[in-house]
Parts: sequence; C-alpha cells; structure tokens
Amino acid sequence: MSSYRKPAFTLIELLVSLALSGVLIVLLNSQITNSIFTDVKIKKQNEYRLEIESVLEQLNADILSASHQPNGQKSIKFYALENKVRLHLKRFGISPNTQQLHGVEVIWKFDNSGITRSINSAEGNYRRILSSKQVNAEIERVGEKVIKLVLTNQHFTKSKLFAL
Amino acid sequence: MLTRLEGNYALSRLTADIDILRAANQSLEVNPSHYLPLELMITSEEIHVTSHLYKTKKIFKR
Repeated sequence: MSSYRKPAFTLIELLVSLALSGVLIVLLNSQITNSIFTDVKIKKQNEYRLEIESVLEQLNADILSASHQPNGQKSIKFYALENKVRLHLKRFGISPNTQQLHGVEVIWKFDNSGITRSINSAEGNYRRILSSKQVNAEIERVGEKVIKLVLTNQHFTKSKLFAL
Repeated sequence: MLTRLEGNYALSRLTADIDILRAANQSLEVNPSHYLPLELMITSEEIHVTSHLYKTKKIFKR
C-alpha cells in the first residue's frame, strides 16, 4: 500500500498569509480613505476660491453701475473695522414687478459670518448670503480715487481694485 | 477644471486692476500671490502671466 499526500499549504502557512493579507488590506484602506478625504478637501477649497472670485466679479459689477452724486463721485461708502468691511452703494435697478427703473441701495458685508449682499428698495428688502465661511476683509487706499479690497482666508489672499 | 475657471477669473481681475491703475496714473504694483493660480513674473518693464493654464503668455507693459 503506497501513501500519497497531495502537495498543499500547511495550516501555519495559511494563517500567516491571511494575517499578511489583513495587514495589507488595513494599510490600503487607510491610504484610500486618506486620499479620498484629501481630494474632497482640495475640491472644497477650490470651490470656495472660485466662489470668492465670483463674489468679486459681482461686487465689481455693482460698483461699476453705482450712480453718481452731484459732485461727480460715485455714491459708494466703505466702512472698515477689525477685518470687517461694509460697503453701501446706490444704483438703479429694474423692478421685477413693474419693470420700471428705480433706485436701490446695495449693502455688502464681509465679516466673520461670511459675505452677504442686501438690496433695499421701496418695493422691499432682499438679502442673499453669498458665502457662509469666515473671511477677513481689509480696505487699502491705493490712490485718491482707487481703493483695494483684500480678502484673506487661511488658504488664500485675493484682492480687487475699485475706482471710485 | 476648477483651477482653470479660477485662473480665468483671476486673469480678468488682473486685467481690470491694471486698467484701473493706468486710468488713475498709479504705478502698476500688483501682488502676485493675490492672483493665484496665475503665475506672474514681474520685471521693471512688464508683467508676464506665465501660468501653465494658458498657451499664450499674457504681457502687460508697465
């Protein structure tokens, strides 16, 4: 009678390979999770920076369309205090109800609670939160009729010049 | 994609800022870090936009 044993792994070899596979899976899983979190974080930062660019464009459009005072200057007032900036400007807008031109006051606020744009008019008030993340805002005077709005966050600094 | 969009916004902001400084007869002093992701190279005569986002280099004479 001949004894024939099929070649196979021993129990210890199987256990060792299982343990190694487990370690590899845990390591890979943590790497993948980290990369996904980093990716999401970077995407959110990019989206926020893009949001700020869009806000600056909108602010620029408001300032360009601000009405002029009798002395020729635009009716824009800036208030800056401790990384907060408020901007009041007067412009004309078309009423959505009557389709007629009427004067509106636009108020921009940059502070700890984010960026808001409010419109006050005879027909009612309208307020929109453009960004709910904290942003530090500062005003620098560049020339007699030019000011610079500097927006700073932990990830970026952006500035925009405005001609008054 | 988002970086390219942001770069387009930053370039339009830079162009508008330079126009404002020119109209106000101010020296063209810009802070390159405020216009990221654009890469600006500032010389005494010109401001070059050297960002990889654009095939054509933009040049502003100072």
